[in-house]
Amino acid sequence: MNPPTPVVFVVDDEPAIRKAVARLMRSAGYTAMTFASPQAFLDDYPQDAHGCIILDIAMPGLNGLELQQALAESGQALPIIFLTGRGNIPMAVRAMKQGAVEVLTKPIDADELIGAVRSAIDRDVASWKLRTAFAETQRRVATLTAREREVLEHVISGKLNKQTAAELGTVEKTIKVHRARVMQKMNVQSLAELVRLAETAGISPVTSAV
Amino acid sequence: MQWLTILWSMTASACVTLAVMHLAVWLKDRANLAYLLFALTAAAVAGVGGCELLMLRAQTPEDFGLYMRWTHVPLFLAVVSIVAFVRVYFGTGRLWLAWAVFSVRLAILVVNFVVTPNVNYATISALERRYLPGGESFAVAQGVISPWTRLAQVGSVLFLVFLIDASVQLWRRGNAVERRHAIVTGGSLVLFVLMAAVHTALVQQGVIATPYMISFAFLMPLVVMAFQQSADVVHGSQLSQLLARSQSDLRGAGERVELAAEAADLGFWEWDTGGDAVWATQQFREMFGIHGAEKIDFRRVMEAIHPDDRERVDAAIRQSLTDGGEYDGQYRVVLPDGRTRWLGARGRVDLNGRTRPPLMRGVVFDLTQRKQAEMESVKQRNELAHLSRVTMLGELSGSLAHELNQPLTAILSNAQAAQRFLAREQPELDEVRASLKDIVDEDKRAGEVIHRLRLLFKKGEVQHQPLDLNELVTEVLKFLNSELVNHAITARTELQGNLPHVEGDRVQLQQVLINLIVNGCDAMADAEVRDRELSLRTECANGDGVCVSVIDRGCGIAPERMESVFEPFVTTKNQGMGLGLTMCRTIVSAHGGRLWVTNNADRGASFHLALPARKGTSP
Repeated sequence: MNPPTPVVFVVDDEPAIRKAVARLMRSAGYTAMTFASPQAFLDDYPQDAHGCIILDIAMPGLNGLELQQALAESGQALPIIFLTGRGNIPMAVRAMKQGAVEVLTKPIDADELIGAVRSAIDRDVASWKLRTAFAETQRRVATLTAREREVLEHVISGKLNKQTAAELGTVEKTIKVHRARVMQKMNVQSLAELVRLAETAGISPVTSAV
Repeated sequence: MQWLTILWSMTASACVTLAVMHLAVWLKDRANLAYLLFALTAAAVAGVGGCELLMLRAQTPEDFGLYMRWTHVPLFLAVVSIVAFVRVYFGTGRLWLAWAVFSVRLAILVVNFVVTPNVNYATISALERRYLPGGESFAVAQGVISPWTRLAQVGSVLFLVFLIDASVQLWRRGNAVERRHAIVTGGSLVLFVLMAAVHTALVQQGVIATPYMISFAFLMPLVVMAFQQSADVVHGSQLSQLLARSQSDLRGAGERVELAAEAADLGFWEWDTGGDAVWATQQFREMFGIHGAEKIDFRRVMEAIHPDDRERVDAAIRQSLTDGGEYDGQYRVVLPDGRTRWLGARGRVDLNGRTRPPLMRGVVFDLTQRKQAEMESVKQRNELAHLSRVTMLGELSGSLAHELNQPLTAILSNAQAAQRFLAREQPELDEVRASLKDIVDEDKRAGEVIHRLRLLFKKGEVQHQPLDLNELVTEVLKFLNSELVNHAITARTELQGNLPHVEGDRVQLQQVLINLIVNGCDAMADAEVRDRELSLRTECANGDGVCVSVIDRGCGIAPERMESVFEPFVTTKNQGMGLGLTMCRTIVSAHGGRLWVTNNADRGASFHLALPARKGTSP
């Protein structure tokens, strides 16, 4: 499955800069959307947004850092590249601590900015992939019956079918059938693969009392 | 000698003495005809006295008649001169009455010389000798009274009426002195005529036996006039003393004025517009560079005045000549050696009751040094203003650099985007075109920023021009945009529309506003971000001014520091010399305005800048 097309969101109170940066993004083959203020972005950005934000650090009203905070608090993980007019070091440090990809000083060099955008989008794609895989595993785990989940938990803790059958109070043959169903539902070929997937899904092995 | 002769001679000589005295007075004061006329009267009466003496000594009726006939000549002169005297001295008396008296008297005189022996007697048959104690005797005529005597009586009545009328008129019209004249002089003349006429008639009728005594009757006005004259002499000497004193006072005053004029280096001048002659003191001539002996007229004075000032001065002087007002002006004079001198002048117009061409007098004084000092102080003030402006801009350099950085950022990004669009296999020319257009726009904007900065940095001539304070506020806020953003301050404006213009130097007033706004920003540095709001308000001030208020929401100013914030070297900031507000106040004062601070009701302080509205720009 391919990630959705990334969008570069440009937030700057200065119309000329907004326009120029958006144009630069287009020249590098990205789709750009512009917002005149952090508040306008908060009000209007698409919920399933992908890509990154190019954000001016100092703006009247809500400033760039405050937008960064607000987004983090709402669980929106779009990577942010900050633009700063002057070498305001304390602000840059705070931006980095809050997880900014990069802080660039105006006037910005195109290659630097495009490079930063590329790595931000890569980061976003990676995180998207991660989130997508997690969601898929979760979906698969959700298809398991309660008995199958029990079997899974025993399998990934390295127990033999015989042991599992004994602990679950059934026969080895039944366990084998369950185990095959789990492998099939989780769409894995090997035990190693199953173990890794279960770990991703946060399913922990049974802690044996034995 | 017999005593009658002595008596008449004394009377006559008294009359002659008085006549001579009055004549002497008249010779010194020819304009005063009254003296001449009274001298004439006195002389005539002396003549009458002589005739009377001849009559009382007459030996035959023929002689008596002849002397009586000749008596009428001085009598005629006496009457006519009294009438003229009254007209001149009193300024009253009806003209037609005067002419009537004159005509009747003339008629009497004519008849007197036509009939024989005279106008009084038809015939004189004999002379009767009457004897008096001391062995003295006199002649009395015996004969038939002529009917023409009636004419003489009419003449006397007319004369009386004239005199009484003239005296009454003078009484009614006059002040205290004139009323005294009316009573004393008029009264004595009336009595004289009355007594003379009545006594003469009684003697003629034979009712009483005395010589004719007309000249004696005249003793009364004689005494009165003598008294009057000695009073005049006393008054005159008082006047002359007064005059002498006031002359010496005047001389003293003149000397004092001269001394003061010399000490103060004042030049006096007087311009007679009628003959166009200018009289001027030596100091005046020196100030105008006019040679001491040169004759000067108005044009010559105007020529000395600087060509740039000439028209203005000429108009102002002509204006005060028209309305008789005072003239007050300052102008430059170009000396023959090319130096320029500043003069102050003050003049006053004497309209001469508008009967003669007006006179203008005045004084000029040298203002060159004062003007130079003034210009020097203005120059220093402007240099200080510039210095403080440069300091302020230095403090703002970060924000100003950012203001310039914005268009540069846009330009670079547009240019690099354009390069990328061009580098594509299929160049996107529309994007390139749009980029180039934006580059041009942003470059212009950067140019404007630099232009504004250069104006503020420049140490140029102060130029007073009409300014719209709303426009100025908007400009300054644009200029300080980065500074405001950097301090996370929201600027709000409440600009009153239709604001009258003010007159001032754009750069200096911008400097004041920038200073006040930056101060407002600094005052809110420690405030919560949501409170950092700076308001700029313009409004018409009470009366005829315009007021700009810069309102912050900081912590305000302690009451005891309300004035000291404007003192030099008083500062709350780490950087800066504490000259900003001092300079602001100096600039505003030089613009004829006021700068003060108040604390807001809720929080923060407001700086108010009031400037007088430019004349003729009221909304």
